[in-house]
Amino acid sequence: MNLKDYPRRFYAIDQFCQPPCYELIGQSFRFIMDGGYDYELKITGKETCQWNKVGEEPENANYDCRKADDTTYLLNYDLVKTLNTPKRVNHLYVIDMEQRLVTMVRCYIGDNPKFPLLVRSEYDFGAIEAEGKELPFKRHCFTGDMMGTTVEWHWNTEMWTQHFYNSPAYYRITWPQDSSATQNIGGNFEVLPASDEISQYVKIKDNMYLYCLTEEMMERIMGDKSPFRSNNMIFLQNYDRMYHCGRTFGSVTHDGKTMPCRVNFGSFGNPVRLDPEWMTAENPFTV
Amino acid sequence: MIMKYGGVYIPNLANDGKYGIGQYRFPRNYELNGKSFTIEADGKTYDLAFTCRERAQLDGKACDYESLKLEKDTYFVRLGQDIAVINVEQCLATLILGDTFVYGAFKGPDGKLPAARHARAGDDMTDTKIRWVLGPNKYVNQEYIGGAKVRTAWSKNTVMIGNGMKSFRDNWEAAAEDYDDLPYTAVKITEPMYLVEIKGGVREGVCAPKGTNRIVTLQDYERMMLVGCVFGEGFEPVMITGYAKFLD
Repeated sequence: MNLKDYPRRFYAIDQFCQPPCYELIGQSFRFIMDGGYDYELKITGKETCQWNKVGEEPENANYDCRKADDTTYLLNYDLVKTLNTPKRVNHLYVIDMEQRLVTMVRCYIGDNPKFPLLVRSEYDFGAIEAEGKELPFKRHCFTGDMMGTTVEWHWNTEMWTQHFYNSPAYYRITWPQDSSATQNIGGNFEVLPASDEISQYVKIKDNMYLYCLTEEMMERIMGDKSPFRSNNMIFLQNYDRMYHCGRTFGSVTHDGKTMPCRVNFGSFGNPVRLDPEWMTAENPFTV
Repeated sequence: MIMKYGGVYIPNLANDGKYGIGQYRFPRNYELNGKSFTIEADGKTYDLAFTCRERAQLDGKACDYESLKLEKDTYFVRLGQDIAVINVEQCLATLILGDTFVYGAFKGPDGKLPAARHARAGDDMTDTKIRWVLGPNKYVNQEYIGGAKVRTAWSKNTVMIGNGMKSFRDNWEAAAEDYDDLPYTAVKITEPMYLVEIKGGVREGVCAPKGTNRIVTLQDYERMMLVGCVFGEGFEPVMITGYAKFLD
């Protein structure tokens, strides 16, 4: 049998996603956060955890966890009490066991009265408490290290996209004609004046970055003409190995119904040269 | 904007890697740490214990190990120069000990030994033509032809992007002409995941290390990814991960 003909399902960005990681089962963490509120996280099973702000009652949640290197974990869960409401909340952590540091991203849907599907993100840096040890002084941090990077990401056997991290607050995306991105996602971008989208960049360690993008321009300009409604995508990118893992948190509209868009993804990368004229074109969304 | 006139150096984090064919290797998986398995096969038992993150014991004999996870319940483990594929949902394990394949099972949470075993894949893979990309511009083409042979060709060693290519994919169509028909053994682990051992050397000037004589991979044709290990003389085993492109 030619295994090309095996009846596999349709994949978008989740085909090359790493399998889930269960290494943290049984572990408990206290994260001392610079934002002033500390968090506790207890991993109770393959998919279950308990979390709370210190001093409050624990809440159950279903989590997902992947690894970006041998000692760095990307873990996230939706707040159960916000599920099936217009104001969903997602907590995401980069748990860095090598440096005993943590980055927490809290994402909120429903805050913006004009654009109720927009995702707003809060970034909080901190350290992992360990008995008998002082907290490290250093922190993960916002960074400009990624500026100038051009990288081609392979998401499935037929789709690859090319990213240019050109600005501390935006990024730019394109793809070659032979990528299935042309059919799968290209239509929306043809309507927009440019593919630039809001981004933040956080340095975790040398050659590892938390890259966060929110498809905010698409939501503001296209609204319900696009199926993807302000998708927040967070990638933990490992440039030592040239791959990443990540998750989406947003909404998708299909046949008039809007539903949560929650996908775990991964891709493999390689360097790429891009058209200098495209790279240096002005960002139409900024002064 | 960061592009300026006048020769400003703009760094680029994306790179073609320093790990050779091991470039895309997934993070090591430590879920087996502290676990032990009594694997029963053909009237024999094999006691496999993972004593810490890097050391294991097989029938009391210590060895180093590396584990990569390909699917939520399936682990590919290098035990020294041997291999174990462990599926904790099926409670099945296949071992490759030297030249011997062992198809075993271990008791599940209910205390029962499953009746099923992994088994040879027969002709399942015949006619499959695939490229496994193991790193930027590092790949191996595999065409599974009849007679338990696989036509294998590795990419040439190190073609840097600095020679004017726009993309590493520009070099993919200049496929490696030098192929070898090598014997393979395939074991069906789940539908459609296969454990494949290919024995044989590699030509001069390819991306696989000189001295390579065996490649063992766990190939997932649903997710189109593989994990595995390349063995040979003169180098330590290289754990690998890759993604697939069909060649037809």
